[in-house]
Amino acid sequence: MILNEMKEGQTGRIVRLLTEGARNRRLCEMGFLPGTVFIVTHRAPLGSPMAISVRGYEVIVGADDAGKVEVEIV
Amino acid sequence: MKAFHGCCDSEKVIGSVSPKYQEKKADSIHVMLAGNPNCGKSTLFNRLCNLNVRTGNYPGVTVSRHVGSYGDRIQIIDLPGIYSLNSASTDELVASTELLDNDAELIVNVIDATSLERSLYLTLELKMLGAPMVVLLNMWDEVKKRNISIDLEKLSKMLDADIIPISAASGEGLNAFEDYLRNVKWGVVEPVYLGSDRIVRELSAVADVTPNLYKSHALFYAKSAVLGDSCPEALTKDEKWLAAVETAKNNIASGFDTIYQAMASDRYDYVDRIISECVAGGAQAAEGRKKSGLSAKIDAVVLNRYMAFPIFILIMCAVYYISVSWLGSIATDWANDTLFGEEIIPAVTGTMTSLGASEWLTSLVSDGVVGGVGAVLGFVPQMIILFFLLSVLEECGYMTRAAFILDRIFNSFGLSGRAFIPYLIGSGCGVPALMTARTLGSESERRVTLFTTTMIPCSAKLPVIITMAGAVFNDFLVFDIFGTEFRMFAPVMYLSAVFIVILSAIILSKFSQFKSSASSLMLELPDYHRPMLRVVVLSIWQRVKGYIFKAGRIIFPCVTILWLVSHIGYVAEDGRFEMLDDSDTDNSLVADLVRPVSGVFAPLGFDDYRASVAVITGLVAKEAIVSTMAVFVGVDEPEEPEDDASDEELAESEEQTNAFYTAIKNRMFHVDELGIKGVLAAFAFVIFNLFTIPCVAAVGVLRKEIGSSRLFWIAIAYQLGLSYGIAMVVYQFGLVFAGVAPFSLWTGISIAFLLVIAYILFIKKAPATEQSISFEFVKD
Repeated sequence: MILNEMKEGQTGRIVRLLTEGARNRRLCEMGFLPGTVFIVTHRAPLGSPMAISVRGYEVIVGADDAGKVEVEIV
Repeated sequence: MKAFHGCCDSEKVIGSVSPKYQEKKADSIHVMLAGNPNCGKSTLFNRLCNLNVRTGNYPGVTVSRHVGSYGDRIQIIDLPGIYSLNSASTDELVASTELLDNDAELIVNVIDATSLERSLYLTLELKMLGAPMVVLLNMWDEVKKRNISIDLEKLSKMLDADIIPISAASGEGLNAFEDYLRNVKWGVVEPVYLGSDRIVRELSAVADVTPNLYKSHALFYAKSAVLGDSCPEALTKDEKWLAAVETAKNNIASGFDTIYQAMASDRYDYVDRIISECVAGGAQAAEGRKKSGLSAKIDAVVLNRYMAFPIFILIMCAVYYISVSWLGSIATDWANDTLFGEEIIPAVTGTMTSLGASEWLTSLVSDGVVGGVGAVLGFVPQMIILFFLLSVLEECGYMTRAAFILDRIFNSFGLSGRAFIPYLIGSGCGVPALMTARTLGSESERRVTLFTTTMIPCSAKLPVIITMAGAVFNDFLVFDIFGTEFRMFAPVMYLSAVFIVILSAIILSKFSQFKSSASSLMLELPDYHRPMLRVVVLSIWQRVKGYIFKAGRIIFPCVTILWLVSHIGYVAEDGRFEMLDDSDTDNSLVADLVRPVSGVFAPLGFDDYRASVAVITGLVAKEAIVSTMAVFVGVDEPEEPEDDASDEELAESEEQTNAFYTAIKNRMFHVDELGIKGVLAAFAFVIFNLFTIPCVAAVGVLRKEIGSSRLFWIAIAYQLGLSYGIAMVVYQFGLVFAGVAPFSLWTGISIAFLLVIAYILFIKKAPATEQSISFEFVKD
């Protein structure tokens, strides 16, 4: 499953990052690492972006990044 | 050494806020504040140095370093917030460069203690720099309130750094930190990598073969090289070192998808260990939602799928309706009509006359200086209202929420939702808005924002809109709804600005300099805060102070010179200069000088030299447009209504009261002679001035922020061309539709202009998307 497909309020676990280079690095540094558990706290009214609660903080993730993260529902 | 003084006896603290406060002194001790965006560094900095740099409750408020002095020997340097020392946007690059220059004698790592896990990632990176470090656990009051228990001793041991809990906002714990500063051991410490032995081994292998010259930073360079970051050039030519880096990279990355993941995982593993050992309840407690309950509840409403947009629109309308139309105009009317019109100007005139000053000197002072400067100062109460509302918005934490809900819409014209922040700030002042563009994620996005932010009416353009609305558009765009009059001119101008910004963003996205993928939004959502009165008041004062000082430094000399050149004429037959009457500015020097070029604006309808002078002074400062009008049209005494006047006559006289407005209407735009033609010209005048190049201050910042001089000139040409074109279209089409002028050459040119825009919008294809994101770093 891709992060983009998750619904508001669902909890997931990151399986794999499908990005490369600078984008991959940024996601890693923000703590989006395989095994990390997170909650989709909000989806914007127009579908994207989404707000994600991860590692004790809440961050907005844009559609193009959210489309490149493989996740599983917990 | 001189004793230090704390914030509590703040009058003793020596803070300098001179324009040169960006300068670092070589003989001082440098203390650098480093930390994540929005962790409270600037608030702490303001308290320590008794300064007032911009703060706000959203990531990316600080975009360049601020230097303040603390006591005689210590300089404190406030850096933009960063998540790591590799940096994607210009503001982060400022921080990284500064830290890597490494003349920090002490790094103060400010941490949001309510999200320890997120913050410690940077702490571990800073440990590799080899400078003494102290960790300040900020927002400690919030930690206590949420019953989070953190074992400070253990944390200090695991990080091998001193820990001081503080609350920068309330000032709690600052004394302990100041004690610490007094007793700190300055010097160098051994850089360490806190993480697994595996990585330590690999990085040490690289560090071991590092040439002696770079030994002190061997560990940091090893880490940078492994991640592909830039390193000193001499190092990259060292074969032995390069080979070691390659080996380390392969070893570290094995078993992971990417090297970044390998490095980040290792660091987060160590952070997780710290959390589970130092925070009561351990990792499990930290994992769930740490957000404060109230913030989550507010977000459930504010970010709700159906409520988000109505709430956003309501907030925006409220801010601008209150500051521009309702309360703002009450304040301005009072200041202009009552305070200046009825009190100050007559008083000044009276005093001057009674002192026996000559008539022209009286006129210079009362009409020129007091009238011109007063025309600007009259807007101060309104400005206070606008800045109050803007700073509440900035402080409370709504900015990132707005970025969140607008992101998708902004995407459709090549921007990310984050660009909303500079535009909103731009409605206060363009200068900080242009600087905020630094925080945007991609170069193309920055450029589009730099090109267009200053088209949003700033607080200095507000006087222009209000004055013109009162002078010319009183009878237009006024709607009567349920017996209440709604004057729509100002709202319509603000909406046009939004429309033109969007139009520009789409036009620009069709050219290769601006087209790359809109950066993906990665923005932390901060908790809501109740705006602190102290911060709000200080920030209003700071901005209004700037506006008032500008009235003294720029508007005052401007109007004095203008009054002189508009009241002195050259008499050709005598070959000498002479003073002119108030109403005789047609024969003045400025008229002689400007009249030949004012034809440039003939296609826009306002070819009166007075209007052209206003445009020119507007390039110095937009509010000077209003001052110029005041100088030219003078402020005649309103006619006293006669005692036996009927109600109707009284009402008429009421309208006559504002002689200033009438004078602008008839002398500058000749509405009495030209009728609708003059009104259209006045409309074109407003449009041109709102959307053309901003004031000199903003142009200077634009030049610096945009990086290349070619792009800068393109920006200037674009702003001039677009504003001219739109004003022309409005005027020329208006003439034809109103039936006051036949189809002319200029109508044709206007149609051509529209066709070009239409071609770019609908037919021209956008260039292929470039994935590469490059930055031209602008050094201060």
